[in-house]
Amino acid sequence: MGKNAINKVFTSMKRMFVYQPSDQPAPFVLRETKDDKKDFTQELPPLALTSVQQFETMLRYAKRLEIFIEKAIEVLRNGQFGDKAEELKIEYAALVKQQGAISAILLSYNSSEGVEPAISTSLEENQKVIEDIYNLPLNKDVVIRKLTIPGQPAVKAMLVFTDGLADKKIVNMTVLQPLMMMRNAREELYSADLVSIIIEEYLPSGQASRVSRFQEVQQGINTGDAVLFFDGIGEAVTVETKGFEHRGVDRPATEQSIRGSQNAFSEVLRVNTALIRSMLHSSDLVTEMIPIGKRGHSNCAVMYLQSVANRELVAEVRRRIKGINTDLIIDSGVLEHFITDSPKSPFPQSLSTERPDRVVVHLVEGRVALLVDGSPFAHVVPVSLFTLMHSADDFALNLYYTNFLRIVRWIGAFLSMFLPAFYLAISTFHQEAIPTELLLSITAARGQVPFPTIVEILLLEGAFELVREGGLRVPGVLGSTIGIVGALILGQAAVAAKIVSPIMVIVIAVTGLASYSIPDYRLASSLRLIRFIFVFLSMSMGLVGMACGFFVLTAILCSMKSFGMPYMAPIAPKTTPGGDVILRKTAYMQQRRPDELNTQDAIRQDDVSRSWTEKTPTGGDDS
Amino acid sequence: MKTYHIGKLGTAEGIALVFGLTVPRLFLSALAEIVGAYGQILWLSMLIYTAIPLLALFMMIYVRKSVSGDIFTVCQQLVGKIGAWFIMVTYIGMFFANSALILRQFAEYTLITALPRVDFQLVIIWYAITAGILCYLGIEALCRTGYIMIPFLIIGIIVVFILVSPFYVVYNLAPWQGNGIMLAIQTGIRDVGFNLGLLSLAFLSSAFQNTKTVKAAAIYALGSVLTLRIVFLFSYIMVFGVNAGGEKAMPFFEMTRLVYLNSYIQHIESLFIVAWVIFGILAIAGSLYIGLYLIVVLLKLPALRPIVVLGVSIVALIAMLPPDIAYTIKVDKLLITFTAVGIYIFPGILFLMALVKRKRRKKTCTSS
Repeated sequence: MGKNAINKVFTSMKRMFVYQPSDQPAPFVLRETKDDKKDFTQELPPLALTSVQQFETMLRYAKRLEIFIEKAIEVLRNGQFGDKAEELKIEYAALVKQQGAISAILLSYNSSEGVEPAISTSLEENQKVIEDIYNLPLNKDVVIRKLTIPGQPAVKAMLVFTDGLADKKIVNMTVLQPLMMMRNAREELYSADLVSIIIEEYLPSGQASRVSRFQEVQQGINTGDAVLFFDGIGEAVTVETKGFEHRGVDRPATEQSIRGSQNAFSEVLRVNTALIRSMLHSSDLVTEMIPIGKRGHSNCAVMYLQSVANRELVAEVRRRIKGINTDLIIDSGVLEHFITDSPKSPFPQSLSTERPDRVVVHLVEGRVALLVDGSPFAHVVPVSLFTLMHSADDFALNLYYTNFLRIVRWIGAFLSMFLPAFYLAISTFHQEAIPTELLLSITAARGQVPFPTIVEILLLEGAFELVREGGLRVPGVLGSTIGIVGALILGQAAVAAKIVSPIMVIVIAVTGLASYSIPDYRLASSLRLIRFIFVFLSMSMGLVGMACGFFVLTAILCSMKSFGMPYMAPIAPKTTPGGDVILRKTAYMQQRRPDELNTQDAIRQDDVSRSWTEKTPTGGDDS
Repeated sequence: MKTYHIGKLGTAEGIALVFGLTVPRLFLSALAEIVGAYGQILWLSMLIYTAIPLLALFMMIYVRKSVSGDIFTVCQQLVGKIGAWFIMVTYIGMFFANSALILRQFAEYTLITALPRVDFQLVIIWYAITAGILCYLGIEALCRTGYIMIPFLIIGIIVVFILVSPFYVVYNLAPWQGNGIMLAIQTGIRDVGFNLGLLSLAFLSSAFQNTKTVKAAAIYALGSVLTLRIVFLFSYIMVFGVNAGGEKAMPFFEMTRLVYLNSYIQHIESLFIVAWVIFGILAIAGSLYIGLYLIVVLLKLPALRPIVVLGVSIVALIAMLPPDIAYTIKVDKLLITFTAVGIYIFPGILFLMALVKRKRRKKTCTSS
């Protein structure tokens, strides 16, 4: 039956508005894995048991083992050592084979449940566990070296280390050689505490310690230590053999100073802690090591002065780090996301620095420093906004000049945040505030520009951000050159093409320059972002919008905390300043530590810290 | 700890709170009107209507020290449940009305001085949202922000006083009796409502470190507010005189308009928009927060934040009700008179009841 006009109109309307499945095959989409689709709000079963098959395999093994044990008991009781014993032998071999298959499942289950496997007294068993943990022989990084220690009787041992992380020379000289060429081959090692004898008498290494769990074994192997297992002993010895290649102590790349120290952190945690210790010779300085990351174990060093730092602060830092439940922390910046009070705030809540001297200064003030394996940056907590405006060589320069620079930085911060928005507000809503001559000049310049001011700002800001980002990505010296040339050409061309007015180029250039005057890169980035918000507020309500935005921004900053310390301290809340907030006093006048840190010892130095001024000089005088 | 826990406030925060709640009418036409009505002697009225609320606050502090608990529990123990409800609802009404009327007046002045082409409802919504965000962040953040900003704003105002000094005519301060000393005293006694915000210290006293902090905050805040008002008054009268000054709608704005140093520093009035916008928002948000806090205490709600949006909506809608600015000013004047109840009667009753209760307790102790 043919369709009438009404039917046709209805069908076409239906096609237009009602969803119809496409005739074409679906385009390729990289689909999510099953795990991605899981509802993570529900409590998950342990990782190893998510597969029912694995669970059944383990049950079957347990059942088979139970039957085998019953059979073995029966055979032993009845004394049937003939055919039955042969059967048991075959059954035992099959069970051993099956155990090999389920040990991987067991390991996975144990790790997901937090069950740490203990070191076995059987060397073979330990080798099997190590092979399972490190996927040997597929994984070529981990080396298992078997050896026999001469003695009465000889002790079978196994040395495990990671090729590349451990120095082979150190392994040979401090572990293998002393053990294999033992001076007293007739000694009865098993009669006494074997591990103690080995550690105390035969291993000429700075650090050797006994461990009893595989987690500690992994920690050692993963960080470059060698681990020594002994047959018949349920413990192992970790020997320090670290010797991997790393970058040496270099000059700071992002926090250069004219007169301050020229050392910067590197990627090796122990080098970094040593750099701090080399500057702060104090037995009071504590370095706690907290392992973080479930899969990639990294060490996080928590450093503080025991008699100065607030104990609650240290406990809170420790609690937060230990409470991280993630696969891997690759950088101290990532660690910050996990432990800060307001991780969604654009403002940095810790001081990130590559300079050991800055860390030392803050440790002495009572703060806590965090360093992560593989990251050349330390994080100092807690900090206020004012700390982030301090520079590395503030105390290395003259007092007045430093204070002048600090004022310049604050002006830079305000210009970076407000200048485009202010220009927009004044030129769009409050022209009466502009002096007549300047107003005429702006009007003349803007006369041939077809876009409103807001479009001009967004265009130039966009171009500036592109140049900045492009300059960073271009390798080597070319980057900065391309940045400067790009900015010059772009600005000149945009003005010549009458896309933007010359005054706008000046405004954006000054804003860009001002943002570079902020010492903390992350703070500068957050102010750059906020600048756009102010531009939109200004576009909406002029100076009224800006005033409201500024008020709200300040209130947000006042409500923020860095590890429990108010972010705007010592100004809001008002506390006793330590003499180094916006401006600084001379070093000898800073008697108190920052009050807001609530340190155990609030006094940094005596009221008269220059006691020599009160004593009579031994030399002659003017009289 | 309840979720509406207000944080820890110190003297600085207390000063900022009171300053923010009491100063903003300096920028509004209320000042010009009373200058016109009472003349040069207005400083005496200011002195009186600053001193009386201070006494009321001290009475309230005595009450809070005598009876433990939040302000509703205190009222309930002293004047019974119905009396407590009546007192709380009246205070809530006063603070909400204060917030709404200041919001409307600042919105109107924004239209006149800065954004003549914008719809007034949009400005009201803008201010209301800003005040709402500040309330959401809490009184601690609000007071601390005020504490940071107020010194800069005061410096700005003082700069204006200095820059308009070429227009000062000292003879305008005469006759010093103005329209009569008695009239000034009467006005001072009647207009205590200008300083209703001072009682916020008594409502939030549990958040302060101790009674000493509250008293110090009150004295410093009212002292500096009084000084600013009197300096402003003298400066304003010296520039415009009583007659012309009484007719101005926006005293501070009119003063900033006179500033002229050279062709590059002139018409700075638009820059001072920032100053009075911040003062305005501080007052709107502060009043709104106190109103909301009293509601939370009255209804024993577990949290304040969820009702912020409701409070903001109510205040914004009330602010939109008056048909024009003249009517708003009239209502504002009535509110100032009405809020005298909150300064004289309620603290007075509560103080007397607390006194009686204390005497009774003493008697009981002695007899037992």
